[in-house]
Amino acid sequence: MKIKPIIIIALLLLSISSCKKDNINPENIFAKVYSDENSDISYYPLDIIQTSDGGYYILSALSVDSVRTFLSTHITKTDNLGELVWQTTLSEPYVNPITSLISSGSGVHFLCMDRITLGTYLMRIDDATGSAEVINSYGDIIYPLASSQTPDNGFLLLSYDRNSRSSLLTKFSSSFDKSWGNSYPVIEDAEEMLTAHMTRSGKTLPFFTGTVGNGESYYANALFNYSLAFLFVNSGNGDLTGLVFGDRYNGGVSAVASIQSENFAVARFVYDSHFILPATTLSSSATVSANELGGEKITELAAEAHTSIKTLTVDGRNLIVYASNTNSNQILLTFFDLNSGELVTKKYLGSTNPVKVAALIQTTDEGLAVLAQTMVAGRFKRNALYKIPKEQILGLDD
Amino acid sequence: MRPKHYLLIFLISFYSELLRSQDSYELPVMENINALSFQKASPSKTSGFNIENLAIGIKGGVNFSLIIPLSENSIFSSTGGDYSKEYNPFYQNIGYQMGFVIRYSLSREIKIKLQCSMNDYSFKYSNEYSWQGSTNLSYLTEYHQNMRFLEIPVLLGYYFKAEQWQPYVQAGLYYARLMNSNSYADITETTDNQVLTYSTTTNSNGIYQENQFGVIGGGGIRYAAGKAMIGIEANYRFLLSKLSSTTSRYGNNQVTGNYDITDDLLFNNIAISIHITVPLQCADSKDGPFIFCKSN
Repeated sequence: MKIKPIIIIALLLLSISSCKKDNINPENIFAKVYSDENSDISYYPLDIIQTSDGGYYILSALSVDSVRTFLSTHITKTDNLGELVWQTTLSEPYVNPITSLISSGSGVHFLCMDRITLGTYLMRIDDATGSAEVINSYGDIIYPLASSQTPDNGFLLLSYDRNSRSSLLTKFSSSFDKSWGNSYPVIEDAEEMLTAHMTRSGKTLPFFTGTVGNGESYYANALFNYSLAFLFVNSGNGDLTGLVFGDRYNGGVSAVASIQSENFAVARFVYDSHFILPATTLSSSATVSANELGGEKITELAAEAHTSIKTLTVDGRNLIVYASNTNSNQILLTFFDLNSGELVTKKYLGSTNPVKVAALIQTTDEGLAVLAQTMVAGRFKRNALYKIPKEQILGLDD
Repeated sequence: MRPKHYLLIFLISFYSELLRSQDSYELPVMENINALSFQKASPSKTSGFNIENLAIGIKGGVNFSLIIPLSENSIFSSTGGDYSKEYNPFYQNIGYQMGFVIRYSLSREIKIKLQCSMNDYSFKYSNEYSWQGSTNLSYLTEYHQNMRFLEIPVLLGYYFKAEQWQPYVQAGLYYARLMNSNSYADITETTDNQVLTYSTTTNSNGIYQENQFGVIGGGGIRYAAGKAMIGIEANYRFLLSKLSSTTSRYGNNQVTGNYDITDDLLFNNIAISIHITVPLQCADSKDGPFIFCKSN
């Protein structure tokens, strides 16, 4: 018998195992939990941003569970593999950090609150010292709730003024000077509810701000007229132009992504039910009820689910991703085609130990970074970071 | 019933059938291995394939996996924590294998073997984490990873000249296809007041690459029991492919959800097997047992 055929068969069998090339590198895919051995501390992740070196800054609030007060500000720097490089908890009075992390030419910024005066600080992360420094303070803006970067490299800040019982939206320029401010009356006293929101001792509400298209107008999900309302405001002066009003504080809009002009991807909630609208239109000059928006009810989402929506482009394909928390304590990522609205794929993160989504960003490799809170050993609230490669978004790794 | 029990039952029943068939054919007891009829059927008789040079049989035994971590991976990250796994010694990583052997004699000394087998491998390691404060908790997790591979090794053996006991050495390549895998975790939670122990079983499919290959080498000794050959051999497997890829490491939510993740590691294995082979011999030689016969 000739040995040659046997050798050929053996080589063919061996070659099967090397046919599938793995193009995904360690920086493209990982899952990390940032450990802390102090059992009295809980982390509440807020936002994440990718740095120029491929690593990540994570902004989170930190509570000492034995004393419930305003939460401390915690910053984490990781490398491109998600490994922790440094972390710091800012000393008082810098408490109650808010979303979002804002990247400008001078660095990465965020806003937090003075523990005593309740005024607002603009902070800049200093990678060299592994800490953050005060860039500006706005003592007249109290109870900061949410912020976002605007296309002109300024930012919007949503806050609550307890004296006038109003939500306040303030626009800052790229030099961090105040451009305008406008208030939207809540009418009733919301301070107790907001204190519970900020100290995580009660119900948390989906406060956020954003920009429509390229800056045609701005929006804010804020307390307004006895309810949680999604407000459209004039980008020049903050005048209210339209709104989607909620069902008191038990229903309303939970997340929005502006697609183009009046086209939006929206998530809304009514008590413990959650609805998504991957492609809908909202007029910035109309007043409608959130319930009129309709949408697909997602029954697997948890009653208190937080939802984030992001637009992303993967291999030239425009997508929308919804991230939310399920009844089985996992994170559900649902990807839709931006143009057709068709479902592209679903992905679940986490198992056994609960995970909740906090924020998500598209990374420079066209993948997705998902910031989450997990409960280590089913007990301790810690920050977690999932990095998903683009191949898994488009299902190319199967 | 565990695989080893199936293996024992199969080996016993096969051997009893073999002995019964030997009795019915009144086999002569061979005193010299060189006198064995299938050995006499040397390749020199024909230049091409000769079925009289073929022998088939079964094999089975135990194996022990040796894990050598190259670089460690952990779900956890901190500036000061140590999250490295502590691997159990190889003799605690016991597995089982059973399968078939097809052997072809290229010459009196050189033989080529195809050994198709189902191999169960296992390895164990543990992690320990602790938290201090109002709650003092230590969390010890002992993982027991199990994998079942369909393996097809191709071996070239050199058989030393001998009497009834014939030693041999062999080496070759093997291809392995992962059929199934699971992960047992024994968790011990210790607080100031109590110790709680529980176990979880997770299907770990997805965290290992399905197609694997490596090199195999070893040796053994066989005994000529009539027309049958009974032997014992030990083989060392060295996996050349990566057990887990960068992607597959995160390929199972249940596994990563339990904060478990595979290291970059060398996966080696020592397998000890007993085998019984019989020649595919024609009846007209009156030397049975046989399976095919040209005269029929």
